[in-house]
Amino acid sequence: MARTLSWRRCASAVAVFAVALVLFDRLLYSAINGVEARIERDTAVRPKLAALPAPSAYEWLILGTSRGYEAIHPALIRRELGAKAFKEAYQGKGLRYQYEFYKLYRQMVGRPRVVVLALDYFMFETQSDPLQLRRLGLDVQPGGRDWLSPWRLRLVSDRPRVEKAILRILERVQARFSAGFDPERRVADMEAYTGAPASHVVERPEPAEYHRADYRPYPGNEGAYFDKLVQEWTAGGIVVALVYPPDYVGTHKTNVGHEAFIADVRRLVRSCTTCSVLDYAGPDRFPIATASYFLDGGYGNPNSHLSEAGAALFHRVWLQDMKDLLTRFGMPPGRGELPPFPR
Amino acid sequence: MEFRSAPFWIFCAAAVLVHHAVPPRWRWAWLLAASYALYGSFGLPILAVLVGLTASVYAVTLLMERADGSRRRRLLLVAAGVPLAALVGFKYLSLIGQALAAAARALAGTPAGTPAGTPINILVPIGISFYVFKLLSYAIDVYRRKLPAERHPGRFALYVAYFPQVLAGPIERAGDFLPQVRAAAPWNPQDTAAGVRLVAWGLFKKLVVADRLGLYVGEAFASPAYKSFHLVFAACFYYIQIYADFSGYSDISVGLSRMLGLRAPLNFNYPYLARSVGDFWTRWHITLSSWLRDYLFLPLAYAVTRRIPEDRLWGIRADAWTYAVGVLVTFTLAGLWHGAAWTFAAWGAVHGLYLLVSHATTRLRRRGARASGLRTRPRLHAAVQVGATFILVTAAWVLFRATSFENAWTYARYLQFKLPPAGCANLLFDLALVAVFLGLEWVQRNRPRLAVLDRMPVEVKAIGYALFVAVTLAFSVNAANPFIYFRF
Repeated sequence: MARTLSWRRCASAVAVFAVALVLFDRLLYSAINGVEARIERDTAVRPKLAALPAPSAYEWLILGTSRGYEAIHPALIRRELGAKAFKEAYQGKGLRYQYEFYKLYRQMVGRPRVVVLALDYFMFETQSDPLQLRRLGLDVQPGGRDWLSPWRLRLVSDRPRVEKAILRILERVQARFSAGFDPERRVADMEAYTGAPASHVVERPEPAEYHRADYRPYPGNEGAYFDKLVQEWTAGGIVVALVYPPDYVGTHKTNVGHEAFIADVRRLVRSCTTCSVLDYAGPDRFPIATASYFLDGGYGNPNSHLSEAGAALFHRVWLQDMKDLLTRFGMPPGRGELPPFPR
Repeated sequence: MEFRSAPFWIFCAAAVLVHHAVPPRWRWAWLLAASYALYGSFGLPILAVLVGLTASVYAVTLLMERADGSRRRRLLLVAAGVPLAALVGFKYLSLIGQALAAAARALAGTPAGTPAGTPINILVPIGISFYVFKLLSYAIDVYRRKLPAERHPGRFALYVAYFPQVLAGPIERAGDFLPQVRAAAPWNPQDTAAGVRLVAWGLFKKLVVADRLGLYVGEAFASPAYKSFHLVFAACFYYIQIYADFSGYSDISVGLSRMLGLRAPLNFNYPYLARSVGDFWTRWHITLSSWLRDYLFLPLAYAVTRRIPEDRLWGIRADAWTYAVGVLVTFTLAGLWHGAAWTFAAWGAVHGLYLLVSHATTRLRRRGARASGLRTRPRLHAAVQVGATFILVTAAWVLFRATSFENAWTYARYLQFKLPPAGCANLLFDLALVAVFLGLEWVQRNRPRLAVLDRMPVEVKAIGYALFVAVTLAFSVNAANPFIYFRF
């Protein structure tokens, strides 16, 4: 026969459950962050830059998020233009990260001749990943400092970060498995990387209804860092290409505020005479309906990345524009023909 | 309303609380209102379809109950024909149109590869495959006089639209559901606790197991080339994924019913432990397979038997014909029930073939087991049978999951037994996840033998549940993945 519980026991069980849930929430959250921090210990940026074999050889600097990571490749730039490029583009590397990194890079490696910033539709809004900022030596706590608030479960309120942390832990374990190939952290691998071969895009006709992603306008959370970057570039007289890599057609149609975004970027760099905006989003600039050129994306998905095949084709297009751009500034792109590399 | 969203769970909590607060004789009204509100949140036109089909079957079955002979049969044709026509019209018109267009092109001698024209885009009402089967079983049961026609329109409408079941089953029989609604059992805290447990377990299955395995599986099926041995694991994981996904939904559904004081039928019984494909179908989607047995296979087999006058036809025994026709037709239609694509039909047909071969080789296998000594080692024998069934069912899932025959063929072509290093971390993580999941399933299965768990103080249990919820939150996938069976 089923035992019945008194109301008092029920209430005490509910109270124990609530307290235990908060405790386990904090415990698991800190455990996941702890494991992540532990495996990321060897990934600080400063030693990586300090260990560069010939810093002065790097004429180009590529900045951006995961879109830039998959779209722009030093190996292809070197092959096409003979210029050596350093890439610092990855998921979670928002504008704040890019600004802080740029300062460090300038201090440790020198001022690049050319900067390429891969634009991201949500770049003003998206906050840089605290873990990435910590790799730069900044004192940033993941998930903020509201640990004592019992009303918020960290595993819920910081859900995207927890998910990313788990994926990153797996990724790092993966990097150890896969013969050490780790383009994000090892410069030699980064220089050899030319993209991921698989396309996960399923070609579907445009549905009648799907989620449209509005533009989250400047300044958003990190727009101020974009201003600081522009000031740095203007002061240094650096040739800057702000490149918007192609989006898969579904994603392109999802991001309904693309024109407003590009207009904002153009307005913000108006004072920088050496800055140019190169937009490859539309079908007139790239075959964006060819699924095999993209790793992901689709109607209702505001994010897409180029595949290896897509990146190869994209380089043929945008590097031609870069050649024209550099010629306009009187700068032949190849190694040895550039002016001296100032520290 | 998305099942992960707070409004959905607030809706469920409100539905349960108000249900127990209103007088028993009005509970049906509250549940019907809640069910229509939830279903209507997906679109008023699809709610109109649901209400229209419910009204038509309700009215015709009342007439049918009083009729006899050929009039009764004609009324059955109407009562079953209207929902069936709706199902075919909404779900299969596009597939039929494409097949007819292809046939027309072939007859006209149009070269292969010519565009097939614009596909017919129809908004398919969510859950139509499930509630149409409920309506059909009800109409047939009334026709067979197994069940009196329900006179109360509200209770009948609730049977069809009952919110924990309308989207993806279980396909409960009216004979089990309606008496419970009439009786309106009083609130039982044990039932509520069991319901909460089931809902939590269902969410874990869906959010942690199914969705996380889905990442690995999705990648393998999206581009099978060069994934080699990962494809073997991806096929196995898909089996676990679809099981965790659908049985997770069923647990949530059954759990919500328990909280409302209603007992819903069992839909899964550890299918991966099946010892034959026939056994698999007594453990997988039980309410669908029993529906197919009672309303399709048996009538079909009976009809075939009546049409074979001799003991043998073309040298084959009549009962073998009966079984073969019944099984192949039933399973091919069962495959098509899942979706308007030929890959689903092929999946069903493959299961039909498995059963036929299994039926034809029963004696041979028995002799083989005796000769190899397996009969004297029942545990090893069971393990071999479970393993072989798992492989057969997994191979068929590839057809089910593939987006096209070409995709399935590419998948099969790239299968290799060499494990590349890329993707191994995810693989190991997912293997660990599957091990944990199966371990927890083992605990559930052996719960009666683990009475120590039930004897623990309620506060200790509360700590265990808190840990379970925290783990679910930590490892759930942060993406909106609807239940797989919502598509069907």
